[in-house]
Amino acid sequence: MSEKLKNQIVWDEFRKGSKMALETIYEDNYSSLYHYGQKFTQDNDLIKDLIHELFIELIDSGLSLSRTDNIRYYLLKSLRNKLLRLFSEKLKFTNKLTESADFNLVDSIESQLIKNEVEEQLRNQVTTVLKKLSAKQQEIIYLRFYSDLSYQEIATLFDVNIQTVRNLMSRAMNSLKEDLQSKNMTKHLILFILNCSI
Amino acid sequence: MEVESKYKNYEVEDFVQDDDFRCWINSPNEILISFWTNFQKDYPEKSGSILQAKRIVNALFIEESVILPEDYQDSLGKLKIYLDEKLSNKTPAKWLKVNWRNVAAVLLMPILAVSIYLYSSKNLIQSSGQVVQYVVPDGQKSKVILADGTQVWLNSGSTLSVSMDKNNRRKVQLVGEAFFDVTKDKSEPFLVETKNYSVKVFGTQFNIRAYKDQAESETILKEGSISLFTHSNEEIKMAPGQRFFLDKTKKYSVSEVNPDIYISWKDNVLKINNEKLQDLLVRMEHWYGVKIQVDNYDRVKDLKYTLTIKTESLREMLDLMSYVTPLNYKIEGEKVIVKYIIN
Repeated sequence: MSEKLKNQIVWDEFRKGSKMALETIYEDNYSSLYHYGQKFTQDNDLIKDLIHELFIELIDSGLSLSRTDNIRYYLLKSLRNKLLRLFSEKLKFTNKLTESADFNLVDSIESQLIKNEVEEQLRNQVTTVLKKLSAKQQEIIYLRFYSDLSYQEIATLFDVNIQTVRNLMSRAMNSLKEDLQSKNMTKHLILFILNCSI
Repeated sequence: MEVESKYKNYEVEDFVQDDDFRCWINSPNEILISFWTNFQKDYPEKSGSILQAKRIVNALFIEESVILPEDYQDSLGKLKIYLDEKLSNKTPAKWLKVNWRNVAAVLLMPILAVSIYLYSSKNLIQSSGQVVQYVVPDGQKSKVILADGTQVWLNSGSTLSVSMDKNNRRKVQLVGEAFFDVTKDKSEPFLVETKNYSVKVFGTQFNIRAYKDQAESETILKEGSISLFTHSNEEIKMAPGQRFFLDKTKKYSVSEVNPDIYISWKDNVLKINNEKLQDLLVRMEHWYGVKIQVDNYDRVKDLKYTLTIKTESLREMLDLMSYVTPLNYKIEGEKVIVKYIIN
């Protein structure tokens, strides 16, 4: 059975109120949702609350939910909407741009580099390069590489056409290619790669 | 070979965007290793691009934290009950909609520190059963859901003691400030005991403020009706929108108020409505978890303020105050020194 068909069947069962489908969907997607949420906010409890709330809403909607053959995409999209709505409400009161819900991949990568005991100088170089990417570009990279969404799905999620997503991605790739090429970094990164592959 | 040819015109960015390529670098398996080793042998001219692509993939690598079933079991359990109740056409209980395990987790640290202990004082909760204390440190807020479904929002610096004894499950003891949304149960009243009086209810919403270090305390009723019992066993019945206030001399008064002003803290809003500085300071100390020292306190303690604080930091709040009444301040860790500029 193809993934798409499986998704369709499980989702249909869920819409009809199957507890088993609820369990399957929840367990299969919880990590993806949680990790995705973590790129918007460091408030882990908030993410957990939002995921719970999201499922309550899904259960409430039942048969009126639209059909889908990609449950993960459907859920990520819903969580994203919830997060953005929440932050835009907050923004209204604070006017502080620092509290906006910008997708942030750099922090996760930085802590990964720390975990891998990459030396500070190189770590800073890598993060400086990554920080040049826009929030959108970081999110596209994450959704494509880590959430396994297709370019088409990412485009729908952002409400733009697929070519825009491809362009953003290729610009991101080009800037990474150029910046990660500089002489100094190459030497360090080769050491880093060697360390990683051992 | 056929698959290999797919890659022969690949550039750096194509490799990076290829799922199998990234998988080879991030979590290789034997098949991928042998494939890419052969590919590099067959297309040596690609090794430069591959190295560069590797570098990019490595720089983008993240290993997500592992999620264990216990991280979400409570939430999932509730969702299942919620679904069941929906299917049997019942109105699901409100608490199912809230993922309060997180709240419990926030509380757990302080609880563990205090731990569960045998309660010995007889006059407050008359039970020899175990008592759980929920302790909320200064600067934090928490929410607890009790066994009967009653929801309690605890303001910073508060302690709620709950008996684990089944016969006493609707008796709690409060030091500090809390908002209660009590589940209705006509057969068994809900009882909150504070330092100076106790509150008896059947099902309603109300707020109590009775901090250890404040001589005054108050209770505000939002909905329903409650009875207060003083130490002399005098009963005071309250109606919605009323505020019971006990002053330093243990004299009480009841007045009509807008309850929302007193309850706003639970939704992370601090509403100050024409309040004297001396009261405001106490609220600020609990809200931000600091100690505030004011120079020439006696000369300024009656200054009145009207403010609404949402997510403002302590610094921002002090700045706001200094617009109205010029002042200088200094924040040293948990201590704040305020100097009013008086002519």
